[in-house]
Amino acid sequence: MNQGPLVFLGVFAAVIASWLGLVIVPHLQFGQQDMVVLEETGESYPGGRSGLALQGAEVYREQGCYYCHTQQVRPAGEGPDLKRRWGVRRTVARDYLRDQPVLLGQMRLGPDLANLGARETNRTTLLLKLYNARVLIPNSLMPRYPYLFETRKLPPGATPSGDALPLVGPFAPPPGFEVVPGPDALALVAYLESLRAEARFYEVFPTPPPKADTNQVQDALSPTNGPPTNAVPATNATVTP
Amino acid sequence: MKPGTHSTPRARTRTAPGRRPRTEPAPLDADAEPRLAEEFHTPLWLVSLLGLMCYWGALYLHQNGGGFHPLVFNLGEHLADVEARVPKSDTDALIAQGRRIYTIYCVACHQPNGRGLPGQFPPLAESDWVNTAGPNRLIRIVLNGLTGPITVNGTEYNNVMLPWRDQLSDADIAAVLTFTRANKDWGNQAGAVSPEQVKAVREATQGRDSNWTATELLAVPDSD
Amino acid sequence: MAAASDSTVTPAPPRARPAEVDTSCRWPVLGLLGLALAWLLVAGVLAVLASIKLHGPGFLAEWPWLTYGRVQPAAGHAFVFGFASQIGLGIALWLIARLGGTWLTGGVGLLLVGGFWNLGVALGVFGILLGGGTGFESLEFPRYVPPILMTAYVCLAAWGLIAFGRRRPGDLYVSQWYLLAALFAFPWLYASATLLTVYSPLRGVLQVAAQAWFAHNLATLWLGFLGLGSLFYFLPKLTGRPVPSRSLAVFGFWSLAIFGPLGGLQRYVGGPFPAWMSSLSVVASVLNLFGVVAVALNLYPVVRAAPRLPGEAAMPALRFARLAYYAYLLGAGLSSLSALGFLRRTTQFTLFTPGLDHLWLDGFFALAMLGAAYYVVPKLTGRDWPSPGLTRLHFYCQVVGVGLFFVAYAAGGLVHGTTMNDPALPFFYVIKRYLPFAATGTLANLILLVGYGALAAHVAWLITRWCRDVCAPLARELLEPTATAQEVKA
Repeated sequence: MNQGPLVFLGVFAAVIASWLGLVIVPHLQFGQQDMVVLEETGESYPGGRSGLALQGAEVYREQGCYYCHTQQVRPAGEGPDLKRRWGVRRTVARDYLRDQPVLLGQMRLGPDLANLGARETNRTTLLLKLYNARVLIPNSLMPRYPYLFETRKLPPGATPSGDALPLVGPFAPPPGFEVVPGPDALALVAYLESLRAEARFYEVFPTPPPKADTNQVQDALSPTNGPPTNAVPATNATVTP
Repeated sequence: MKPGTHSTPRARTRTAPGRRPRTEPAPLDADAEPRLAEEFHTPLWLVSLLGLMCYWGALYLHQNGGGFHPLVFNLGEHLADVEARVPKSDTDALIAQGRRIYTIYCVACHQPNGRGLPGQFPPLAESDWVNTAGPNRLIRIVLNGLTGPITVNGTEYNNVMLPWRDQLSDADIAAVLTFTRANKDWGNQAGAVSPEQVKAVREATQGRDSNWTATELLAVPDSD
Repeated sequence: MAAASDSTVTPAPPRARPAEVDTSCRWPVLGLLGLALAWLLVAGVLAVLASIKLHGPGFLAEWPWLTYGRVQPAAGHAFVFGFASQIGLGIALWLIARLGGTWLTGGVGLLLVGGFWNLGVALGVFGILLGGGTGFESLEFPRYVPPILMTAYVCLAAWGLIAFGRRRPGDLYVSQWYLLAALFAFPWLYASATLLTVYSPLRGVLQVAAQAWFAHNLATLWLGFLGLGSLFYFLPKLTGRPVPSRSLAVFGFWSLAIFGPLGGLQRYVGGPFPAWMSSLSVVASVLNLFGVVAVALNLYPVVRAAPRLPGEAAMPALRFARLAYYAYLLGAGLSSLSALGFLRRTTQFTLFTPGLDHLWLDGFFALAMLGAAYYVVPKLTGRDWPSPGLTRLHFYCQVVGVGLFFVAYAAGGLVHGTTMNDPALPFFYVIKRYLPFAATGTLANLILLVGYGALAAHVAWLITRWCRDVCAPLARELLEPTATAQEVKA
């Protein structure tokens, strides 16, 4: 080790090797991965998000939501994700093909959101959580996002408009005011509603339950958003030393 | 600096004058740079253990690397395990294909849940026309359509169904009928339909260019 | 001590005396260290804000630019790019010049380039606070920042390499291996990762793979190697005990250089990456332990050796460096072990991870570098630190702060993970359980901030003294320029 060039070339080779191994080879291997046609619906997956949802993805990024929420469902054996019904199956690379940037996150101070659109269908709930999660969950640690909403004065005698959040008690705005979601809040909710990872295709077919023949038919027939308990692949458990 | 651990030229540099006086006492600034001694070699146990762990690494990758295949995601699995979960029996394939056909051609009238629309389109779910011993009448309806009054589960409907003879192949019709008849979510229990059965009926009714009526169909035995 | 080594190693005479080296380094290195200290304070304040917001969501919630999702990355980036990279570069330049027995060229030009780097970091941190983060953890700086940083870096590193090229002939010392490796690795890591995530993104999860690869190597290959370079210099220097085994040093260096960079994805096991990718990272991070063990064995006798001179017992640099050594072992060891088995399944996606990162950055790296700075600054200014009390205060704050944070977050992470892994417990219960640990983190961050404040006060004091001694005569001279000029003419 007398020579600078030796150190330089050696380290260069090591870095290149890791770069090839973790970035470039995977890119060559599945960087051209394409959408699949789902057998069940004939649609291409993953479909794009709506324009509003895409705007919402920008809001999600700007607010740094991924510093507390992941968007990845691990298989049974790697975590409680399926049992907690955060998803009906694990997530795979194909689920994220059209995301830019991909906001996987690696911290779960809050629940996983990969399949939020399927489990939280009430828009008002989502809006309330964004406005102040403690309205619904008393000890929630989720930050408030009051600046995504508008507190506006009602004309005298008018009743709150249809968009107004149903806030009561300590959270209610002053009398004569109402809280309505701003454009960013609506976009963000549209994005959250568009978060779905439940389609079935080659990599993620569930394990058929131990079966008689009829069960097999039953399994193939079960709709995509079937009950999560059925969907947990029983033999997916990983053996790790 | 300990005498004798360094050669003299280095030691001499320390005494070089020309530095502004400092508050720091001189010994602290002893310019002996740190050295690498050669008191011992890399312990053999460390090298052997590294070799052993490299072997473990190879085993681990063999066990958990999924054969380096990009479609294997679960640790500890291989492509064969993924392959094994893909629905593969003939019926499964027909049903999967049938679900697709149904979504394209049938869902507008008969609805995603197969229950039709009351008063307009008859149900397929738990329907006495669907849950028959054989598919002969159903194949004919799909091939040539249906016109006029028909009684399904005791309710009379009077509407028109289009013929699909030219749009759908034998396999397509077999698939969509299998999907319909074997659909347990809809409460149906009837058997699968094979492309051969469709082919036979298609040939038997080759010349027909008008829709069926319920009366005509009831004259056909539902199974062979 | 091995007499044999002395016969084989015949050190060539240095081209510059240490005093000359120090003079040539004075402005650029002091400038970099000073700016790094400023960023350390910024990062410290932001970290306190972020950790308060973590357990008190109502705190300053009305301002979008202070939301947790922005303050948290802003604090991290200010720390890594503002403080850590900068102090690392400063110390690296000094070490390269010192070990090479040569002077550092560049002078004020280097300082200007350093200013350019700080412009980039400042723009980036403001960009993050304004919502311009890119969405990639540790690559959050908006797209206009990386070119600035890269330009500044290339100039700074080039000066380092010029000095390295002028070194005295002979064997390279361990520190030189590590520093050289780090200096070469960083631009490669940063440029390719930014390119593949921000400018010309790969598809889908490949972006995250590039980001994870970068984040891991930023911590190990860049900051980790800079820190090790510093430890390998200061520990033997201050104890007078040579690093015992050249062979083990070579073994350790190459183990770390070969296995280290392949890590990163072990934090995403179970995530949407093909099994082989995360498995590869798991294996690499376990094998990386061999490098860690080699470093540990090699430095252990040095760490345990008494200070070279009794008077140096109170020397802050040695205390910092010793503790940095233990923090390195704990951090590197746990990060390898947490890639496997029970620890992985319990701690993935929990507070454990930031606890470990904190131990690595504020513990190992910051201790190593601040210790180095405690040694280097008196050499460059020619003034000793005015107050041992302030040094002690900083030291204890740093130790208690890092220790408390790590213990709280590691324990909190285990609780977080254990409760989260029990699907019968609702999520709000999980939150309730990890809350006290998160709150302890705020206390730890506050203690750290006090320590940083002590350091800043100490530096201010030093500068004041120095100004009095050096600048005052200089100013007097400047105030009577005409007379001087006439004298020169005469």
